[in-house]
Amino acid sequence: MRRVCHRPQAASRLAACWPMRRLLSGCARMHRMAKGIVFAPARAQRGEIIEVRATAQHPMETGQRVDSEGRSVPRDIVRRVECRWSGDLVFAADLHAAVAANPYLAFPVVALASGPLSVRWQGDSGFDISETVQVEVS
Amino acid sequence: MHPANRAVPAWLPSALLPALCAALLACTGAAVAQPDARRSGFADMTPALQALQRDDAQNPGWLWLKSGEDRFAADCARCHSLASLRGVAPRYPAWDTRLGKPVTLAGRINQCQRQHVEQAPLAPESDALLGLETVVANVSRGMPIQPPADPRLAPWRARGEQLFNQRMGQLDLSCAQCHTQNAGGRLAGSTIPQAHPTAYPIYRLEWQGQGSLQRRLRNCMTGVRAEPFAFGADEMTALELMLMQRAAGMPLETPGVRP
Repeated sequence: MRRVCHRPQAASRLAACWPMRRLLSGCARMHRMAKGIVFAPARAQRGEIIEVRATAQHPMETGQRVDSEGRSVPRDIVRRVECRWSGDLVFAADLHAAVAANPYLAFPVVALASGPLSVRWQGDSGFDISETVQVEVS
Repeated sequence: MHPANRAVPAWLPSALLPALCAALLACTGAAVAQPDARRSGFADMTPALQALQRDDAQNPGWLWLKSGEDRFAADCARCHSLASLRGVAPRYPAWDTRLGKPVTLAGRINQCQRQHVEQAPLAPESDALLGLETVVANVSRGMPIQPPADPRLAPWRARGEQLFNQRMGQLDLSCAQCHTQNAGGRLAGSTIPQAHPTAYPIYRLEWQGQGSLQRRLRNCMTGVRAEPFAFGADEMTALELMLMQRAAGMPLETPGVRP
């Protein structure tokens, strides 16, 4: 199987449809179009725990597969996700090959002061995108 | 038993009762519309997947929606506003007088791309085209599918119907054999849906990406080991027309999530 999926009901289906998947998902996505989305509440009380949800458009190519010509497809994954609130690092994660495409992360953060909350995704082949939302703390 | 407690008045001859019941049923049956037996593929998904589609913060189709909005603002906003495109997607495919044949939503977007944006047409299944298609369909989210009543489309729908019922491929199966005759049954572990195109473009977990109705149709065709019709082929348009007619009145869900 191409990659381990974090949704168990999907994983079994991926295994079942492997030959068809190989035909259909051979094209590598260009990073130029990549998009990140961050969801966080616009307002929060001081000291409140808020949930930040972040997802980025990325194929998460493991490096384990070969294309239809038998050539190995180079690894292309997001390696690091960082969340900064007013410049302070509040969350970070190192990602590895066993993560599905378009990785989705949800994490809690304690609201301390108003400011821009930005998430940055960095990975192979110079992949580097970030997305910022404003959170007002009262 | 006290006469007041009887459900049926004592004066009513018991022989008349069945006839009266039947008459009453017939009346209410005529007044109340038959329940719609059609089901969106959404209804057959697990609660976890349904939640994934419902929650905009989790729905991966939003990645294409958001990048599509960026492109829309750059290329399309000169002529169109998003609000003015509400109600467009549920009407497509529609007749194009200049071409003299029906055009799909993706085809229409590419016409604009060529004539007004004056750039090369976007490749089928490219993120750019899927993004724009997702944006245009999303502004009509919740609206019922309204296929145009243009009589020129009738022969195309008939052709689509014929293709839907035609056996194809090494497995010698037609679309109808699974999606009409055995809908709701199982193909290995998966529930066979009724094949209503209510949520395209969809984020399909199996693809780990966004894809169009035509990609999905080609998927089934390779599944029965037939040579799939090309993207944008007339047969594809005919099938799209027929499927949209079949799903008329069902609400549009774009961006949908499917297993």
